[in-house]
Amino acid sequence: MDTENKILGLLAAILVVMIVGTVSTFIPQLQITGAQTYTQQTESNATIQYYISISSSGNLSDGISFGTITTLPATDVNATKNYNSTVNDNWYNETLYWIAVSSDSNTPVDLCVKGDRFNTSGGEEIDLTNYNWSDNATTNNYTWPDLAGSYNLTNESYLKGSTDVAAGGTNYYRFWLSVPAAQAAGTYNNTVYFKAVQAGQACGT
Amino acid sequence: MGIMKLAAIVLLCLLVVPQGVLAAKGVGIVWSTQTEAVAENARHCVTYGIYNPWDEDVTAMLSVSSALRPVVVGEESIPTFLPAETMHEDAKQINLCFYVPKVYTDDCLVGNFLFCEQTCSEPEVRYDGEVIVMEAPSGSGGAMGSSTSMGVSAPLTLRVVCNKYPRDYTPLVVGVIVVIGAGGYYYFRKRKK
Repeated sequence: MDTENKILGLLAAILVVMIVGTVSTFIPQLQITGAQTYTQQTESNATIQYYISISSSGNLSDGISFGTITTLPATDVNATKNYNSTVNDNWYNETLYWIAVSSDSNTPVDLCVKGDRFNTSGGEEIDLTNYNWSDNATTNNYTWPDLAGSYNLTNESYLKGSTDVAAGGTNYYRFWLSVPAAQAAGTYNNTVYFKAVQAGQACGT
Repeated sequence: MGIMKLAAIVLLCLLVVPQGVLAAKGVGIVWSTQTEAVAENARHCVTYGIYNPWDEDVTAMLSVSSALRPVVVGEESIPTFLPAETMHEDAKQINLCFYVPKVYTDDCLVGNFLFCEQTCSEPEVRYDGEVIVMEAPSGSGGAMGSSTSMGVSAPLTLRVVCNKYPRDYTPLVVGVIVVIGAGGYYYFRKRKK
């Protein structure tokens, strides 16, 4: 009986030690630590905020039209508002397609463009290498934006045009479409996307 | 003479006023963070402001780029009406939430759930993308042409924080305690009999 009590006591002691050890690993406050020290701390913070806003001209919002093309092949057909400014005489031959950066912005922007596939509802498609755009952030006249400096519309990801356009600035666009001789008749449409990113940032997809 | 002067002033104003002010409809985004540290298996929200300082009302949608799409929670593309002349100070606040799943693999001795440790030896997982405010596509482009859509984006990187922890032997300790307890109990019951 005495031996049994000793074994029982030993087992109880082992159990107590293991339970205390296990519990103490879950409750750090039970761990014995050295002398307590006190520090005083003050939070410090600052928030940097950016804001950008852009708008499109009414003609760009209305869409980019190439009208009805009746003679093929057609090369570099102008979008209908490429040179059609009739707002006043001073704007004659200027483009009516533009993106403006609001003065209620606090960082310059880079402007990016991409487009969906240019096709008919029946599946006929004009390759985007035939769809060109050009932009200029400083000059809008008969010469600029120019066809020679134009880009093909891209589908996979945005392509960057003018960079570092400041708040209050305007970026002007022109668009051209070429149609190969063998292109099937039909109404071809897509969506062209314009995006402003903070200057220096990638355009993304 | 007075009329001539007035006409000259009006003409001068037309020449000087930037053409951009004639544009009327637009969208804007306000952001205060570009990099967020997020935990695994946790929901994390970021607030963006959207605004329209232009002189026409617009309906805008907040969306994320493809890299962030797998972790965004819920439907982010809820059209939001922005009245004209909503300046950035009065931007509408939109909470964009992300749920980042468990991305770092634990090192476990049994299966993938017992006696595990996390050494954080894997490269940091990041989701690099952007948050975009888009105006809904408008215009048809006519007989042959394009509708247009415009937007503004803010960069966003989600850095998934890895929490180091040592191998967890708790199940083993608990098991030993249970075995010893049960063994002792049965031993003494047997001895008493």
